[in-house]
Amino acid sequence: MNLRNIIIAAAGTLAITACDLDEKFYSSVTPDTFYTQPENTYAVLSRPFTHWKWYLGNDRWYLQELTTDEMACPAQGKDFYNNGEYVRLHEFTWAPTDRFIVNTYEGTTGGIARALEAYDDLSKVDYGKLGMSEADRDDQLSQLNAIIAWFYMRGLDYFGGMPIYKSNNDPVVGRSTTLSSSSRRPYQS
Amino acid sequence: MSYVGYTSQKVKPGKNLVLNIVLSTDQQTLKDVVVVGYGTLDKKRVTSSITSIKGSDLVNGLGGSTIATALQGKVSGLTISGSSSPNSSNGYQLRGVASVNAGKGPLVVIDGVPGGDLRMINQEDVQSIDVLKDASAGAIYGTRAAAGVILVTTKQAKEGKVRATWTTELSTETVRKSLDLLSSKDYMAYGIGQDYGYDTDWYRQLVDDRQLSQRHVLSLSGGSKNLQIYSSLMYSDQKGTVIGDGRTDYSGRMNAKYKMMDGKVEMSFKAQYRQANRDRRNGSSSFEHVLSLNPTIPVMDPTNPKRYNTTVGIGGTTHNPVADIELKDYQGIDKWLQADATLKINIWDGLSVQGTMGIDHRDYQLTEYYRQNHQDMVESNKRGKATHKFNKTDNKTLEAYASYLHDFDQHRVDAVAGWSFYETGGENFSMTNANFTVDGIGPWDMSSGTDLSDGLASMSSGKDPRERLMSLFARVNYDYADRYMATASFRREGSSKFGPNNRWGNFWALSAGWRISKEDFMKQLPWVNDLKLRVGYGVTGNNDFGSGYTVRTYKSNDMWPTNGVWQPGYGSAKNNNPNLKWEEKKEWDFGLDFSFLNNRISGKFDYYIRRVDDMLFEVPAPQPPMVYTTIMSNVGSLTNKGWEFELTGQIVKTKDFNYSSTVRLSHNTSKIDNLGDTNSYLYGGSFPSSMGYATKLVNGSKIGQFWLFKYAGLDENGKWLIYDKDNNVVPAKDGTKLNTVDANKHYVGNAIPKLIASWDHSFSYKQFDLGVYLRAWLDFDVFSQPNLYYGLKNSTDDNVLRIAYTNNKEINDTRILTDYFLSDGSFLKIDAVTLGYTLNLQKWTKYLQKARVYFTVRDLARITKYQGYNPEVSINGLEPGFEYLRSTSSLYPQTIHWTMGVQLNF
Repeated sequence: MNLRNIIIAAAGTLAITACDLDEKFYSSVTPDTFYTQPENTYAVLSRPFTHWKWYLGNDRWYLQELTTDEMACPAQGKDFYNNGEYVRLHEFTWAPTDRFIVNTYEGTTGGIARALEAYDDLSKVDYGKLGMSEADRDDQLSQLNAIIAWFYMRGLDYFGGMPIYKSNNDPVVGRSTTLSSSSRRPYQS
Repeated sequence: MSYVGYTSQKVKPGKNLVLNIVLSTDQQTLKDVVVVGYGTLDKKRVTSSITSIKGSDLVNGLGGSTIATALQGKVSGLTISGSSSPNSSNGYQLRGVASVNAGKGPLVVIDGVPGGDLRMINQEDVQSIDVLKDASAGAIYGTRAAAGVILVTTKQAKEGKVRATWTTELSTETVRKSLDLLSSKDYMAYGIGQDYGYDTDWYRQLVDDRQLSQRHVLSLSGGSKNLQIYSSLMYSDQKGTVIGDGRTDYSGRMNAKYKMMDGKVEMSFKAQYRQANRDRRNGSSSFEHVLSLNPTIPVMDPTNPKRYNTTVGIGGTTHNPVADIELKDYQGIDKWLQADATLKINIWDGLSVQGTMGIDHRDYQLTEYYRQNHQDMVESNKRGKATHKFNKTDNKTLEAYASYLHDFDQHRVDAVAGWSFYETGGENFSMTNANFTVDGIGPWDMSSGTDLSDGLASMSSGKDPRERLMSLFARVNYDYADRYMATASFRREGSSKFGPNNRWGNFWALSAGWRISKEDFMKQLPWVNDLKLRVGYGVTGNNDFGSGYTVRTYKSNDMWPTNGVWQPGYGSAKNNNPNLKWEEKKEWDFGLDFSFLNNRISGKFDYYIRRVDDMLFEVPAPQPPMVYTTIMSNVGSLTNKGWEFELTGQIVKTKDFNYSSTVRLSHNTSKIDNLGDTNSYLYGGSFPSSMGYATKLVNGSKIGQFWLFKYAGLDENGKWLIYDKDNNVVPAKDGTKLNTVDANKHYVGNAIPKLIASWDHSFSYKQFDLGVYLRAWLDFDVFSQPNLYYGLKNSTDDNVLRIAYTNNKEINDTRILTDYFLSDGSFLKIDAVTLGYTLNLQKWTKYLQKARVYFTVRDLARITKYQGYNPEVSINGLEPGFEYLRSTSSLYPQTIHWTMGVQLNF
């Protein structure tokens, strides 16, 4: 029964060598191996800013412009009717489920969340080890504070009373103001 | 004289006092062997719900490029989606939705290696297909068996002379049903749009029927006592019924079995390669252009009849679908390579150990080229655009187990225990470049496009996280005198997708059978040949979701200038949940197998109830503190309930004429018990043109309910009236007040057929054989998107379906999501009729055994009152019952498929 022993030995060896059940990543990196050079801190710093670049266009433009007297997006033949979503902006009859509203809310909170994440991650990085100074660190964290403030400013303008987070470790909080009649849209008929 | 499992004999007592009566075990149902996980089992000892199909029972000549066509309706409880396109992808679902993280089909096990792809399999190579339906049968496959298991066993050669089989099939298709659009005459009569002076039936322009498709299969098998080889070669060229749709397949298989050391050591090697070259220029938008285009627009350019018209009446978001197809290349090549080797050592009688190593490689390569005069190129001012895409998946399986079989007195013990390892991973890359000097080279000189030097070309690559599964498993079958039997199985499995704390799960099953017909009290009922009661309970797991949810990783995003250098920003890839654990399915199955009247009538009935707990799916997440808006969680549960019934009768059994018939019935309901929070919900797909959602699953939802505005008629101006949330009739739009808001939507209809039935008939008269196969889905509703988007008069110059000016002519309003577009989809379909004649050739030549000539017609007719185009929509998944607008599958021509075939046995 030598063969049997060989098989059992082979199976046993395989069982031992293959029992590493950890995930191994190829197209993404785990943060603990990420920070090896000064550029890496800037890469994390810039993530909320690439979000900001996206945020500046798109649905924000529709909300800002198509709700004014000077601009409207009427249906043209078969295009731009879209179940009345552009008309609703102009008529002030939009629904909370309309995509411009949803995308803008999630775009705003997404910007805040990404900036808070970068702040949290960079706070833990040992800048000295990467050959960077305390001033570099303060500079980066201040930029993040600035963009957090900017996203809150936009959020307050669109929705009022945004829930305020100072860190991604905060518990879930509600709106900072209650929805009163004064914070409703002004021209609703 | 009669006995269970044996044919009855009448014996006249003669002069001899001793009579030797040998009963022949003629009955097929008891002799059969069923393939179960890690072994086989005599059918009579099975204690769980298993349906077995022999390869020889599958109908020949059905066409279709995969085995899905031949399996349709053959397994009660298995629903298969797809269209008659040779490139159709098929979805499989057993006993309803198995998981809310949908798309989960049954696990496919090919020759014992789990994780196979049914698309690779040739019908002619199939020895048997065994479907493990309930959890007590599937639990030995642990985590991947939650949606059932399909075991495919390919043919194995037998000892003896070399036998060859040659099959040739020629087939063609004709259109059975077209979309009913307005003709150019009607279009002008109703004054819908401008008259460009031509008469174009765009649907006919896309249809390309009566093409000749062909398929040839050669298989050889034979061998000596110690070496047996089966091999096969297949070539198939299937033409689609629309232009820009077709596929050519090549496949080769080799199954070899070696015996050494007086049969103590057995080795088997199996390998198959298959390649499918697909022409997929026809896309999901082709049919939508057909629906919308003005029928007075010419197909060819009026000023240059050799060129396609891409300007007259066309532009912006509309395309000439014929030009779109003819002015581009879109070639996909699918490749499958599966190979496995097994070493089996028979230690002593009844005990053996075996090890299997299997590799499974799949890749898909896509090359795409838009010619310079393609409308997209003209409008974007590019001279041609080329794309290459490649992705591949590699699966590795290693398994080792010991089997033990022991008979003593009336007892039988059959046990198996082993270890299994599985690893999978994929890679992909793609590149796109545009602005080429010459069209003729197509996508095969990527670097010559100037978009690259202009910084406009793009490329991407990715590699999936490594995914691993490891498990230990065991099963014991016990049988006492064929009367009482029981099975227990256990599998402990670990998956890399979960965090270290919840990585391992235990899955087990118990089932028991009682052959009532063997009891003494049944002796007074001699017409009962077999009666067996089965009860099974099992727990299976599911880890069918993407990798990388438990570990936080960074992923690159858009570029950003930092210190004068452009570099991508990095942030977390997704929200992480380190506490993810196995989703579990618990299933009860109660079954009855029976066989009466000399086994002329046989069948089985199964009732099941299963509950899925800790369902894995992405639920909304608060952002912040989370970075993304959804997070993968174990939330909620769902329940499936249903029954299956199969009845086979050998109705006429004479020397020359035989008639047998099989009826299969099944019924299933699936209900979402809860989705976590009381106010959690799950939307279906969003409708085009911001029309919102037509399904919304909440706690207590039945799968198959639609979420729509309830039609309450029309007002005097033809405007919609709907029932609001309090069931008051209100206008859809009341001045500036919008009543078509989500709060006024109702749950209506039912997309899951109350009864799914198939009815097979087989006749044989001397050398002739005839098969008629019927299938029906009864009492269910289908929502027609084409009717919603193109079934109403509107203010645009889009063409519409004829119903806009017939059935729907009173409606004078914009479209809303209402149950007006829902209608009963019940249908009865003649799936196939096949007529064959077998000629015994041995009389004339010693080299040819027999020849069978057959003629098969598939999808011959359908009886339905459905108001849309095709009621046979997908009823799988979480949002069943939709006929989609932007889908090749929904709007593909419904055809009749005709095949002539010859099979020669050497």
